[in-house]
Amino acid sequence: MNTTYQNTLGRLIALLFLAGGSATALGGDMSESCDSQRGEVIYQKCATCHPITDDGQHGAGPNLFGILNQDIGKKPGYKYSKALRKTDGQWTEETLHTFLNNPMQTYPGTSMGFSGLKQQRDRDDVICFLYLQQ
Amino acid sequence: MENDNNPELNRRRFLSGTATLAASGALQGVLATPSSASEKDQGYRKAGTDYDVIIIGGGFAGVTAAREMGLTGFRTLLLEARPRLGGLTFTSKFAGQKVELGGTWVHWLQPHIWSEMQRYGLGVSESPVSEPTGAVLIREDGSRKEYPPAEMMMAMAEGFESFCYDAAIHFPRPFQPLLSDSVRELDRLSMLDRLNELKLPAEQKELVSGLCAALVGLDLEKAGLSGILKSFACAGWNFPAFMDTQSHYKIKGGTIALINAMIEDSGAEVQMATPVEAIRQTGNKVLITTDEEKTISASAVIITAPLNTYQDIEFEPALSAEKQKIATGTRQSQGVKIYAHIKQDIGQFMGVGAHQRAINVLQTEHHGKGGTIMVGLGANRELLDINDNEMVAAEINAFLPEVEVLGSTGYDWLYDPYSRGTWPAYRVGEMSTELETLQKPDGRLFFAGGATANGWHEWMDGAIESGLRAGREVRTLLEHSQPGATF
Repeated sequence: MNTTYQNTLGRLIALLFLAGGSATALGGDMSESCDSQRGEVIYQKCATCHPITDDGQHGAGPNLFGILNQDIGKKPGYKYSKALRKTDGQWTEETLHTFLNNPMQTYPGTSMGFSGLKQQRDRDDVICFLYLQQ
Repeated sequence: MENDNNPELNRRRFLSGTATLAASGALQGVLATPSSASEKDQGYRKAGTDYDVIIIGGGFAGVTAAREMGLTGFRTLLLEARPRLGGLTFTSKFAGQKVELGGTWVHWLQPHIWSEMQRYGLGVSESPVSEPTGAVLIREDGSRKEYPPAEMMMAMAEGFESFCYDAAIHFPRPFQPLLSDSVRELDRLSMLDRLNELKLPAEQKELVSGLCAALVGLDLEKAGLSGILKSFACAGWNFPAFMDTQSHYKIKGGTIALINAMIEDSGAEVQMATPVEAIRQTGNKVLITTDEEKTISASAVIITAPLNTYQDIEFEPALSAEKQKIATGTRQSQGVKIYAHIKQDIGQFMGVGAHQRAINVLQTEHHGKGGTIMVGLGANRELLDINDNEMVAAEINAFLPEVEVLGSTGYDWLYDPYSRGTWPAYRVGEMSTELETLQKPDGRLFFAGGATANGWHEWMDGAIESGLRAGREVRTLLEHSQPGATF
């Protein structure tokens, strides 16, 4: 097991503990099946637009640091599309899954130029990675 | 963190009544450059409008038009729908390297962009294509053929020069593309028609087909022959020169460096993340309505957004019937551009995939201790889900079976609502019948963008050429208006 993976796993376990000591924060047994390291590789596609740093600085897309459980379309300092500005709710594992599968069908009018991650495993792993970035 | 796409400029002026945002170095909303050019009183400026001119779209056409207007003293506002400038160019990072997700390569044979680079003191960097050490063709049936690189380049050169054999006849002055009457007849042919006419040996035909597909980003049966012959003519009717324009030199600092230099010089105000929903011409004004239902007025508007996006804007009165017909079609390329990070250092590689393949051209972009970054172009987005790492890796491994693909990226230009396609590309019959229509003003609306260019319509050079033309047209309109009169 390499150091990066150990660190990632350690952070995941710590976050799950903080979230109540169970795996439910990531949806049942997802923490056992998702691979944040693979998610980080897939996130390279997202990173061309979306920084994921704790300085809050946005790029062409909003900074996604700590995005889990935040309000949809409300990150301070970023002007979202009308479609997302008017959306209520939070970015949960479920809403992220739906959105990442087909952003434009989920929120018609979103300005995110992205057709989606069509493989469920890819979405699982990216969400797993996102969960650790907070 | 470096953020070239949201430059912090020296001074900001916020447009009254518009919602703007600026946060911790990430700058959206309204920017104003330090120049005082747009504050000059030129005498011909009239009260009654917020601006002399509004430019819609912040790609190379838009920033060129903004610079042309702003530097000559007109009150200029540039509206960009995305939260970044650059349009169909996008400088970003992948695997620790600066990459261009859209338009990339430049050349001194592209006079407009080269001139801008000289003006702002921007040099070039090179893609490593000068001495390829490996070359592969993926044939129509999926089989793989390795070539000595020089042999493959020679076969491609001979084949492509045959393909373009009559370019000088039809395009003696390529920046006047409709000069020769013969272009109308030529424009009835597809690129596939020409390939079939040539009777090249099978492998050579597949090499040329792959190169053509990568260049045009369309099914070759639909792609007009005239567009590619015109581009070949722009490069001096010469294959080595043409290829040098396609994949060799990049702007040092990225395309965003030139975009930033031009907009900072412009004196224009810039409002980003501001899609336009409606354009209304009334009397001597044009009223723009943004997605926040703000209304801004100007004496003229230059639209540089891609043609495919006109359908999302409400025009009143409606655009001319001929423009509407064009705008409701699909005028952009359907191609893809991907980057892949390979674990091994494979040196300078050149791959071509026959035109039905998912990747039509694959070449080394960076290589060294950290492995290799490849850039690939394909003509058909339906054949390659650029967001699926495993699918991209499989296509890379078709060329290079022994390598390990660590990751990949690309930009979904077809799914971006502000582009709805990749670069401008002509289908059969479009160039000879539509170009003049696209360039023609519609009342106080003026049109720019690569698709309206005479010369390098698929390239950044064409976008700049069109921005210069549109700027000149609007200046002429405004400067000829009499002081004191309504115009």
